[in-house]
Amino acid sequence: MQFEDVKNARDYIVYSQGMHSYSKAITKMMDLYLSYVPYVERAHQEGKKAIFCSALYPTTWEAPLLYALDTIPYATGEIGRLSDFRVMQIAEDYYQFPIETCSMVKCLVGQWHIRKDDPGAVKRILGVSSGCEPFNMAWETMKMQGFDVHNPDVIYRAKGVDGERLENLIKFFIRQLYRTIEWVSGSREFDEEKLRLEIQRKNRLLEKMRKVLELRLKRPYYIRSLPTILILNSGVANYFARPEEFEATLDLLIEELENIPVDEEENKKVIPLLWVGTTAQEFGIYEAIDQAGGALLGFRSSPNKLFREDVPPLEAIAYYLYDNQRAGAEIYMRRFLDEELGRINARGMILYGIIGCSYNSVEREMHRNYFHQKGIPSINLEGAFQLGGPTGQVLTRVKAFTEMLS
Amino acid sequence: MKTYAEVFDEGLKSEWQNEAVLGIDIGSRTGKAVLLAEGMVYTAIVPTGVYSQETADRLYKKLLKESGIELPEIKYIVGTGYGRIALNFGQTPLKIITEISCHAMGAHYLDADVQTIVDIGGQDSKAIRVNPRNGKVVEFIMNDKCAAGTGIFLEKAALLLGLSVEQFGPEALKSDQPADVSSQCVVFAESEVISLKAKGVQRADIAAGIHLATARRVKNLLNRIGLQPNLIFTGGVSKNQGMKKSLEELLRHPIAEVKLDTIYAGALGAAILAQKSLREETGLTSRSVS
Repeated sequence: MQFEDVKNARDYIVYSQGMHSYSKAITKMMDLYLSYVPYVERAHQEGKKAIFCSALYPTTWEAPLLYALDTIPYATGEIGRLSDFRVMQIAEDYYQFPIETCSMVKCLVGQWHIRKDDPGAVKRILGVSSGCEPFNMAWETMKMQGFDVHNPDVIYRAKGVDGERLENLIKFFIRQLYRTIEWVSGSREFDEEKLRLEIQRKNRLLEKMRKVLELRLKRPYYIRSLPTILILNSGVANYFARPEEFEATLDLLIEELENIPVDEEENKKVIPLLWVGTTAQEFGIYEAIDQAGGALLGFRSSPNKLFREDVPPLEAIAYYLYDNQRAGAEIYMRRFLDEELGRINARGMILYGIIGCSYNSVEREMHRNYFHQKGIPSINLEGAFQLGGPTGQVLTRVKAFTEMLS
Repeated sequence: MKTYAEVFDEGLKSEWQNEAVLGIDIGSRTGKAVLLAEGMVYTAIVPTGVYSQETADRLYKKLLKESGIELPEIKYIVGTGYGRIALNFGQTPLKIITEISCHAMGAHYLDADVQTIVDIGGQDSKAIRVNPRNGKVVEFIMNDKCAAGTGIFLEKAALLLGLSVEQFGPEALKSDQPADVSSQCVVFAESEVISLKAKGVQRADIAAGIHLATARRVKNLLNRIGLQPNLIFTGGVSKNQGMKKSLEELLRHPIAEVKLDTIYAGALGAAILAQKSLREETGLTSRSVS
């Protein structure tokens, strides 16, 4: 496929796969990514359990728990790329979601609506975002449409919460996890050893992804920005529903990266950038960054913490929830972003959010002001969640930003 | 046709180059081109057609005719503007650069002290901070979420008042009591204009009110990046004297006068960047203009 033939997000992946044809590992990863949604739906129709859940970032905790309960995590973010404006219309016209509402939420509501009368479709949703009002609205709406929705309460850990107060939070969340286990499997009993092994697997994957990100610093274009963010934010979050294959492919990728020579001259031309945001569904943005000489080498979601293996597995999940870089208010993320900027020697940061996400628009402004005062240039981008190419204006901004930094 | 000395900032004389290069800026309403060759600056402007390449062809043919230069003599072309993506000039090396970088470089060559640019085009407006040492972008912000603060908004408003785009700015200049146009949304502004007309408010006052409303939108952009002297006004709307006056009044800051119509700033910047790219990519020895 040629770049001129690219029409939508799926095309970008196919195009990107073609550009990486020299790499068995990246080709395989893109195959796993492209086949993830059909694989989950087919597996579900064949009798395997699958549950919609966020699994949007490598630092989410659902995958180890669900895999330990013989259930496939079906990442809601991935049905976004199956969407177009029609699913948004369902949310706006049929369910009367205001036009300003988060495009991700509207997109998911539309996608679930399409599935509601299909007897073979996944109809269970594990929601973990009690702080997001549009999502709560979506889940309530879907409950009324016959979906089985479970939404454990996730407590916010404020700065300075430690010691006994933290222990109380941990205990609270462990109780929530028991409720979740019961909802998933029908019983509070679970195989603790199996969960322990899944946590070990998750830790291995986090470490391996970290290794890939480190190796990319010297080989930024061997694996370009698009596949990197898909492996990081989707692969390490849900393992593309095939944990063993995913891990083996990650091993192969590390091996390939370790065995290619470093081109120091080429590296001098690269503009290292930090991506602060969720995965943009308008995949052309990543291509525009690479073509302009930029490379996304750092990510807000780069894993920096592992699950504890010295405590019982449910406790390990609870500690991880309250202790990774996403815990608490966005303002606490600054320290991690500072570290990430230093790690990749970033020349700038791209602040990306979904259109209609009011929380995120405030976060982006906060980060912009804070990092501008420290002399770090940034650009603020918003994109629609449903499938479609990026607009000309978004591409102009991305390109101008990289030109400015070059 | 003008000489470099008649257009460029004298302070940058040591950087002037002779190579024949072309900068093409395909905007949403007009296509502009600047040809630099042997110390001369040639300009051309045409309405943007349906196909970017056709618009570009018309532009460079005009320039070739005026300059007597053949296409193979042009060593490098830089395309910019919204129609930049679809350009192709066969064997002549072509680079695509965003209009943000091009406007910055163009403004820098027109006035080396420029640090801030307001660029109002047909479908968006931008505020750009420029490094006066090298003409590179320091920071920028774009408004493209709605038509307010863009040329198309002014065009639509002019139509409502029964004026052409060319008449709209001069009409605003006649006013000494601009009407209060509070809405910054094209749709709501339309009903506001109709309402003002119904009340018998003078056309010049409504026109001035619309210009001020647009200028307020642009001021918001400048608040984000900061205004540092010199300030230059580029883009298609820069031809509108009413807009220039409104901006100066609202910003309480003069807009710098330069020796070329700043509608060409993007195309000029593209041409300068073409010369720079030519030297970087071919290692060509500079032939400075004497």
